[in-house]
Amino acid sequence: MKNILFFILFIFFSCSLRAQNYLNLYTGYGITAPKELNKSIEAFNYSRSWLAEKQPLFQKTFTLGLGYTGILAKGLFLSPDFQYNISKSLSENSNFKTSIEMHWWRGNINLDIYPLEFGLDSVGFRFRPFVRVGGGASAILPRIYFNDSLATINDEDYTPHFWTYQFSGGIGCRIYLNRIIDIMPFVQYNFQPSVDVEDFDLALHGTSVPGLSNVSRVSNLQFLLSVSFKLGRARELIPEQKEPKSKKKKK
Amino acid sequence: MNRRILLKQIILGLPTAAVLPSLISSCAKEVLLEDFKFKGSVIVIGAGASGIYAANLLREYGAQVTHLEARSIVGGRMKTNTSIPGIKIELGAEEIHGKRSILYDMAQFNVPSSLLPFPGDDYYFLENQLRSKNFLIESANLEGAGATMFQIIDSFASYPGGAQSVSQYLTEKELDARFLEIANALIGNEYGADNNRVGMLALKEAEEGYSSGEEGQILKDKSLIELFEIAFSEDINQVKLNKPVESINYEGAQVIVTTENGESFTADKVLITVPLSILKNNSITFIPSLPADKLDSIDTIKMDNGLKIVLQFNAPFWDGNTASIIGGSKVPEYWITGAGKNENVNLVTAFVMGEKAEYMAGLSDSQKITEILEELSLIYPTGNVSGKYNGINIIQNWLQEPYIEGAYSYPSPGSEGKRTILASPVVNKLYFAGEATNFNGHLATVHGAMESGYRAVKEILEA
Repeated sequence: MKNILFFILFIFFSCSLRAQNYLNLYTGYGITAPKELNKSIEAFNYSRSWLAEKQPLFQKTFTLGLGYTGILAKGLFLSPDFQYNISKSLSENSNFKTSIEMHWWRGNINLDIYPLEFGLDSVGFRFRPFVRVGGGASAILPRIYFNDSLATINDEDYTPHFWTYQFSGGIGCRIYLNRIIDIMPFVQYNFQPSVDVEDFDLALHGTSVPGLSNVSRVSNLQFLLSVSFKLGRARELIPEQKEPKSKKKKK
Repeated sequence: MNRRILLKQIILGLPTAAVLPSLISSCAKEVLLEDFKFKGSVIVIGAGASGIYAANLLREYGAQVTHLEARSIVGGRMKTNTSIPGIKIELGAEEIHGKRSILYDMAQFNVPSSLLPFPGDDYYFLENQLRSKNFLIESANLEGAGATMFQIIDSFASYPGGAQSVSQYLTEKELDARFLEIANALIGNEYGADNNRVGMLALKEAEEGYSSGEEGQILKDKSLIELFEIAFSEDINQVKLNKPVESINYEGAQVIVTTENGESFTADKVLITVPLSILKNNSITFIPSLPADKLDSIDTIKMDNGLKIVLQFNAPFWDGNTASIIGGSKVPEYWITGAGKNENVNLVTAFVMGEKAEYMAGLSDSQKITEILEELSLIYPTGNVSGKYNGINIIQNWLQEPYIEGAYSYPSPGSEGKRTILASPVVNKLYFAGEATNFNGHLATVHGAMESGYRAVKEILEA
């Protein structure tokens, strides 16, 4: 997985060096439901019955991303991108604060397909829907803090990182604002068939809990908004927007 | 569609996009136990760490709990003596092992200012002199024997060999004979026995599973049982004391528990948290008998006697930073009872387990004191140990403690894998908890007992 992530990084920078098309900065949030990890959190709540404020389950993810979109063919774009995602579960009881964080570094190579029939120039500016399919690798860094100190296993700080892979798909639209900037709202679904967060239960509970597993399928639905900067030739490739003719002007 | 309509739709769509994840996530929420209610009844037998904690969890999830304790007090092997002003002396469980455990979390939540890392340094009695750990490791005169011993101890989790005792293994590894008493204190005595009685495979299993950390903690001005009273006061108030169980009949749809004084209690399930020794000596009659593999586990896992003898002195004869003195031939480990708690009480605890405890238990109280003073005088020849002893002592013999009858279970030869069997439920009616049933390497600890309690409750709820 590490190699895949580095490969995507390589593609990303290779494409960037051509500096011809689009650089995308995006942010958003989504839903992440790592089933087994959430079971572990529930078991934590159940075992620490004295806690007034229970540990919330992982639900929401905040995302920051950097991507590149390069034209492969008419209506077909290659979009390698990198995302940083954080999911956090925080409970603050008097004398006992527990923070569980999952940091996800996700690298994807996406194919953005723009159906050619959807030019939609009629709305007055270009608005083009697209479909995205892709896949890539992720590095996952779980971090558990008790009273702001890292959780330990046998006195060793629990600071692991794990590698996994994902498949992605999504829909969105590119809205051309001007010759330099587009905005691109899109919804992306990522599926990681197997995420093994080894020793997560040991670090959280202080022991192995029967019936819990550290291996989880992870689904992630993201709602993202990208600001896309046209680079180099991209600006040249896009024809100047013509103002729609109006009856008033005719007069 | 014109630009205005499109923008309007986008503006309307944004709040929807903002709310949609929450809606979807609330629909997709996994509920394991949060909203679970157990409608049945459970009898919990034993009010030690695992029993108190398990009763609390069961009530949290709606069970009707009847909690029986044989003795007139709760706490099991947590027992505190307050006869000496200014200090609470733990005569049973004392240390919070490591910083990553449910017990440590409980202490952090309830009594954070009382938590204290085990203070001071350990000293080792070697060739009639007290030595530091660094000396044992680095001294040229010892030719690396001390370093070898610590390496052996640190590598039990990766032990590659077959069935043998720790003593046999140390012989096989040609450990310098000068270190045998120290090794016995650090391994056998620590585990509740001695190196002849601890099996390597079972020890490996325990060391592999252990995850709480080595940094021991104590409670400065609270006792462990006080911590439980703070955390589980309502549960402790509901314990029915002086109810020693005589029989458990699980033939019918419900389980009938009968006490020695003839009272009967009926419930859907029974959680048995009594010490292993009580199961071993057949104090409780099971009708029908327990399965053969469970009886075999009860027989194979051993539990020896253990003594804590606390002596008070008029003045210290030890260095100010001393925490423990390790390697005595009569008492494998002494520690300064007041270290970190109250330095002015001048108390020394003699901690002796296994074969040495059996020997010591056979002596009269005055003989016990004499033997300890003699050994301390040997360790501190210029300390005027006997002269400083003020005659005050507390002797705790766990074999003589009613309804406890021993210290704690240890990794006896052949017991590897047996704790899982000991812990397993019988026909979804009998459940087992207590330190001896902890198969995650935390046997013989309070947090291990608690872990077994919630493992058993989880079994009950999910049955």
